[in-house]
Amino acid sequence: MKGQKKIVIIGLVLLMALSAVLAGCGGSASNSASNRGNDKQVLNLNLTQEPPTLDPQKATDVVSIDILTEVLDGLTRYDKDGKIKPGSGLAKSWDISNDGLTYTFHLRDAKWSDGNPITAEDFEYAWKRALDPNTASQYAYQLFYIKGAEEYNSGKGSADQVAVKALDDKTLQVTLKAPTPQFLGLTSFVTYLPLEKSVYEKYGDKVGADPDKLVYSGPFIISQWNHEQSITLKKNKDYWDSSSVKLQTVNFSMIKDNNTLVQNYDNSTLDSIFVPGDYIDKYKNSSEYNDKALATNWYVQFNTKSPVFKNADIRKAFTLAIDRKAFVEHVTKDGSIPAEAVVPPGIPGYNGDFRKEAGETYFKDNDVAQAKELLKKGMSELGISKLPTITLLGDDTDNAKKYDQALQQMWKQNLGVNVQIQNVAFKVRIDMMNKGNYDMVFAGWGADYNDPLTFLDMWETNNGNNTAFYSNPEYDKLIDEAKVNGDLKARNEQLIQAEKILMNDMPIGPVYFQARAFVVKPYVKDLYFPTFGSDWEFKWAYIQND
Amino acid sequence: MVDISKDKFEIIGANASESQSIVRPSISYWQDAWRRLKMNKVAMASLVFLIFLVLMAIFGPYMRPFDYAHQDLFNTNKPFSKVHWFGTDYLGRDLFVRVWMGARVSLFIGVTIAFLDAVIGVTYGGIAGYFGGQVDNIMMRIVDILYGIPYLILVILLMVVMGQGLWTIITAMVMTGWVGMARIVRGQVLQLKEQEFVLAAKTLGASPGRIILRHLIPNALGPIIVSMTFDVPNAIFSEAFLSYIGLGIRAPLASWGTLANDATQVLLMYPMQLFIPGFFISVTMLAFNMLGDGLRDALDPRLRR
Amino acid sequence: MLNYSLKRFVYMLITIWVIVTLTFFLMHMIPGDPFTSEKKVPEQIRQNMLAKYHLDKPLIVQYGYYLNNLIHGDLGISLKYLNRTVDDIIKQSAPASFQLGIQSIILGVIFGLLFGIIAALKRGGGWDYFSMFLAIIGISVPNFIIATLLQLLLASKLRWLPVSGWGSFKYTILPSIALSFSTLSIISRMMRTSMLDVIGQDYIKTAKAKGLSQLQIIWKHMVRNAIMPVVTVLGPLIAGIVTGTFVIEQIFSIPGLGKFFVQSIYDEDYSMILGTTIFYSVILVVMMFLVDIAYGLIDPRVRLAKGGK
Repeated sequence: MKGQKKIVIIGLVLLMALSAVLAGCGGSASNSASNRGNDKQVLNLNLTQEPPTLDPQKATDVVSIDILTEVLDGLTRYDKDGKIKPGSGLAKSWDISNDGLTYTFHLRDAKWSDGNPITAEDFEYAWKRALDPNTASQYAYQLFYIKGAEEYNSGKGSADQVAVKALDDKTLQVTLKAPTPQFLGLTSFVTYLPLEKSVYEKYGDKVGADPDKLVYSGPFIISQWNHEQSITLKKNKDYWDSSSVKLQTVNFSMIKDNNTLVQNYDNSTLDSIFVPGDYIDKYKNSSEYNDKALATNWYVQFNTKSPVFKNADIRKAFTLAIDRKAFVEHVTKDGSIPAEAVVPPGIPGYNGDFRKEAGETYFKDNDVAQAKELLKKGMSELGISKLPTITLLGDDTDNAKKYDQALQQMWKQNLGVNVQIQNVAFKVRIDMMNKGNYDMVFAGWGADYNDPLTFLDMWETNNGNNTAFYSNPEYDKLIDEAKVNGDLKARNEQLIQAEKILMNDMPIGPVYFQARAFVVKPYVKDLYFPTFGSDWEFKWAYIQND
Repeated sequence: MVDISKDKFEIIGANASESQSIVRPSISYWQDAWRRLKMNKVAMASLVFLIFLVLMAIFGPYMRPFDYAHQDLFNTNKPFSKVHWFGTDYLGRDLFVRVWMGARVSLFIGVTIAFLDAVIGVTYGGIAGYFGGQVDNIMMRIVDILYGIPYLILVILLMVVMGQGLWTIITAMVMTGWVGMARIVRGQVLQLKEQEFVLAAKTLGASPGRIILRHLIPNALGPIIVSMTFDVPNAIFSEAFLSYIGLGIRAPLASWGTLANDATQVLLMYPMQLFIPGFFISVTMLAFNMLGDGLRDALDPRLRR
Repeated sequence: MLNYSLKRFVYMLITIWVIVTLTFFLMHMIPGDPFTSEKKVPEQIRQNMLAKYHLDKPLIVQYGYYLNNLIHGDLGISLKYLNRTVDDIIKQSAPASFQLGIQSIILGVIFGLLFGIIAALKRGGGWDYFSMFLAIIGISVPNFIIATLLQLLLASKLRWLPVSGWGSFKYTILPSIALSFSTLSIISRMMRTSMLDVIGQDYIKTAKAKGLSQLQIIWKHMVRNAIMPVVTVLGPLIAGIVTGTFVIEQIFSIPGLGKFFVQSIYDEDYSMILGTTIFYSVILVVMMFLVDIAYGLIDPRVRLAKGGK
């Protein structure tokens, strides 16, 4: 018997040895800088999943947008430095009326990938298609700035009443409901991207199901799409600006597993990846590592209808008790920065950065003494001596699980409050938030467009996204006025005032402004990472050969 | 007929007391099983190890001056040291304490589920197999249906109804977990019930319940025990899978499954974080299997001497 | 036999119908709907979307629609992949899962039986402990760890095989091996135990006494009698594996069906949930049927149903 038992033990020892070998191979960042003599202009990137739909009017998620914005050009296109300039997209130039309501776009001579000219009518058709109730486009509301759009979508008006008109083949006129400074940027957004009218009519609901059910107007075309597996883009020879495009091929894999992703980068089968949270330490000191601020804020959202968090002082206490600095340095690690305000830096104000104009912070980070004080005060206001069980509604992503636990511990250490974490499936969580069936939730908001309003109008009383059920008439008034204010300086003041009120009432406790960590192989040049919208911009990217 | 003369026989008389004497001491089935189990050294070693594990699960978390939930954000992902015997995790929590807290949760889940699955599965499978025919047919179609309904839907719904917690997980897993056992037992019973000893028992007027419990189940004990020993790790990993998709036990509580899961996320950098829970899971399963083997031998009525 | 098969076929249809019905109503009980999203859309747009996919109708009407379409062989359109039908998605992703499943089952069954038989014959010997060890590893180390380790060692370090992806045979090797571990361990353990049960039986002694060769005894008398529990577990095992495994497919980035079983539920993609459930159920029920047939073929003592002879 003894001899045989040995075999089992030897086996276990082998297992241990295997683990020890693995222990040795962690740590250092990739050593494959000169790994590839890539003489072809091929870029390999990873999409985290299959694009749900490549129908431009139905796409809503970042993966679909990643592909669509590279194969379709809008009236405008964000430049390398994230600005909109005339002539950056299919519109050669535009005129804006003095009241800021009417936009007249003059289209350049450009062709679809099937050789037909791109006309203003294609735009008109696409936009009206997005608004058609029968299309049932989720992002139809992105076009609600246009006069008559909402009416048509909700069945109260007709297509003809939508103020989009192709004056001739090359001229498109749009009239807006109210002055909208972000409108030019919006015309580069996915819902505004057109296809050829005949393609729409031919494929109907099947538009974008396969590469042959699309036509292309952007820097690239889709040459192959193996569902759930890979997408291959090739350079679009008919693109109006094809001389700027140096890449011949872009390959996308669809890897979801973090370890697999990292190994593929280390093996140079991928040229750039977004570093999964846990692997940031591995690359942090590498020259290939970088991070980029995103226009996204993360905050603890309080249910202002809950028996405890209806009290503003308790909300503030929970906000102040968070150690943001430690949080971003040791928990997120991805270059995110502590947030003591709502609107992230980088969002333009009247004349520069909104964050600078409004002031950097509204409160002190990790102000434990003040937090304790406020908690005591709040509890006596509520007339309670002991807090009931407080639950933090959790998300099911790996990062969120980690972050939730870090917050939980900070409240325990700094406030002495035991918070329970409750994890539910994603849609169940959204449903619970909508129904007000929670105490606190850790949530984030990414910009829809490049303006502070995208972070502020959601907290209006009747906004569907206001699941904190926050309500302040003064706040509503400021936002409503700002929405239609043509005087941009006064508008900016109103937004600053609104943010101040929001931070005073604190239905949300800001935690951090998100950044995204990524690594890029040194031979990849001019690959850009936009602050919102898509993950990359590789129109100008190229491979530098040694 | 050969004639045998009477003088070849001798009367030795009857001794009443001797005729009642028993060569071996009378022992019950269970005593006998225990006696034989004790003789199996590997099984006993496994038993001792499992007892040690249970003791560590109870006392281990108090052996170090750390709370399982206490975070030290300045000491995350640290290797083994004198302070942190098993190192720390991504939030700077002591892994020694967490491993033993995890042992509590995992062992409890594993053993409870294996037990419940066995009780339900054996009863159900035994009845279906014994009665056969239409009863079997209908009972087995119900099993097919339970196999067919997506398990995750049940879990998500249970979470909504019961809230997140240990018993929700156990309920969810038992709801579908027992069907495997039921099928195995039914297969065995189908085979066994045609054998002569069942016929004998029937002839002697044993009730179906008695036949199933006393005759069929003990004869099917081998596969049942093996299946149970597989159920334990299965349950531990189902729980890990649920944690993986965010529906497991309530954080910051840990289980071996969640520890292994968390560690897999950083496998390429800190493999030791995976190794520790992985090691304990493997060794525990080894012990359960060895013990299961020993038990099987000990409980097998055919091997009773 | 024919009569029996026909009967079973009717039962299968009923079983699948019950599964579909239960799943249909259960999934609608989960809070939220396919169009619940983080960023809220105006109510009117939501209504437009619900109307387009008939989700605004009463549940029982939707159920009627679904059954009607189902009878006509239409599984509907995915509510996440808005321009792809469930049919298309299953047709496109099932082959990868199938190939992987079959390969791993073959590996697992062959080696599982082999190890199990040898372990039982050489009880307490080196082989016994080796197979036991393998079985323990297979069952106690979860497949995501095995998969990651194999990938790290054979693909990343030694570069013998690709890390991930799909295309040619070489891509299938690692995932098949990773997937076969649990099959192998379950089968080898099951086989070993039931072989041990059989070895002690009188008819083996009889066979020996008759002077049959060792191999004949093992094959005709032992394996045949011992294989029943293995066959029992094999049914659902095969059904589970050939319809795809979420974890393995995710780790090796394989375009299989496995992820849809999990993801569709999270997305509350109703038509996809039902599509995958039906697909799985059909395979499962057929496997169960085959298992029951196999019972009768392997062991003549087992009579399936009265009058089934």
